[in-house]
Amino acid sequence: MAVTGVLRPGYIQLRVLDMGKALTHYVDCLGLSKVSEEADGRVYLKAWDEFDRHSVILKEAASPGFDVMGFKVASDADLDAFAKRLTDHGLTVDDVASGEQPGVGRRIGFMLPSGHRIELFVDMDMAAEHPPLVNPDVYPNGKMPHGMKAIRFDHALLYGPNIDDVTKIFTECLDFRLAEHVELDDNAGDMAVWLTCGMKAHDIAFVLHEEPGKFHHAAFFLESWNDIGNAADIISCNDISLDIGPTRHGITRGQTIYFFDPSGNRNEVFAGGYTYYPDNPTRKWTMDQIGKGIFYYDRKLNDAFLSVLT
Amino acid sequence: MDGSNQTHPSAPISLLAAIRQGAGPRHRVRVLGGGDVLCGEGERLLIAIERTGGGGVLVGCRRGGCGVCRIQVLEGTYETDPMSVQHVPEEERAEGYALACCVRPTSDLVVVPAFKKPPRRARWENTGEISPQTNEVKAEVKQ
Repeated sequence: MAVTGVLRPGYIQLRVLDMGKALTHYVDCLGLSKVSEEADGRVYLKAWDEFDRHSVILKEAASPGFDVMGFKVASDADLDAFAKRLTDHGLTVDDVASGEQPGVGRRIGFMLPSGHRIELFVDMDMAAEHPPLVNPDVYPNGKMPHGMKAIRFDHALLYGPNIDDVTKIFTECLDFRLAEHVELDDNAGDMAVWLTCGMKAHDIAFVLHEEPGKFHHAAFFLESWNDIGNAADIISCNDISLDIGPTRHGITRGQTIYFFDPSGNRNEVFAGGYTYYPDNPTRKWTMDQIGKGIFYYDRKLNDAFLSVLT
Repeated sequence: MDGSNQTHPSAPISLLAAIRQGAGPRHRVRVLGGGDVLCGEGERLLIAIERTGGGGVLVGCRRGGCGVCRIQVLEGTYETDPMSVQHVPEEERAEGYALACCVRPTSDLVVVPAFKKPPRRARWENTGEISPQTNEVKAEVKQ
């Protein structure tokens, strides 16, 4: 089956306390490239293997955290159809004009009952520096990736209430599939869900949490387990605040390391993870095994993973 | 014969004590309910607490964002790095509230942990006002 409708994550916008320090982190250490800085202060970044103009947007603010995540959709007709399905579901859908983000066409946006804004868009300009298209070398213009060598912005994990409703919105209105979940005891719904719109184990994930709109992490894909070690070296060399890792997840099977940007927003770089085919059944974890599900080697959950958020 | 049995004259009696002592000029920080920590000149308080295994204050992002290391400084002077206004609003900064990861003591301090739990059972209401210019969502948490 081809990937249709919602294709993949497109961008994430994060608030940072100090733009200068944030750029040192995201560009020099993580390995993204700066695309542009606009008059309103937003700074646009991209990873080396992405074709679209940008995938990470930073905005200076007095409190760090999550503003919005945008998904790319196959066609204008799909965008209109999704707007109708979301509206029919009872959500308020708003329009954002073409050009509000440089190089991006019209978008629609809505607020999840977890307190997070999600947007959908169809068109984004191709990046000036994109992966080569003819007799393609591995790296664009012979330029070696730098820092942690982030390949792409891959997914986000968000914390908030009403996770079962969120799953319904993604699966019933946007045709995502539930790849994996942690079920609460006594049929009380889900503690956590991993949702996919394509063939990755997850494109967005949610954990049940009382406070709405919270941000756990933005994840960037690396090529190999060796690159996770390289990232760990960069984390120590640059006095980046380490959360946990290198380790592996039972859930999604990704090999991973977690750390914090200079404003306390959590980042993940990871490699591996299974391929999710659209006919795959949903995998389930029970609460008594959640430690192994989250951290497969330590087999116990640490407090910080559940409580340290922006 | 090879000297391996001799104790080096400057070897510390206790490695743990040496780590707790730190190096260079230090400020003594009394964490009420946690004990005393020696914080190096220019060192961030939370890092000193982590380094010395001092208790009482939780360790989170270490970068002023998550708020779990929130304290109130009762005595002494200090400088601060940028920290989230969600966890330490401007008016509370005058009362000595700060995130330990952003506090650089300039004198001996007395501090007390002051972790602020998020509102329990908060009801989320989206006011529907969205600024397309910044994507800032105006929303409120109602008790």
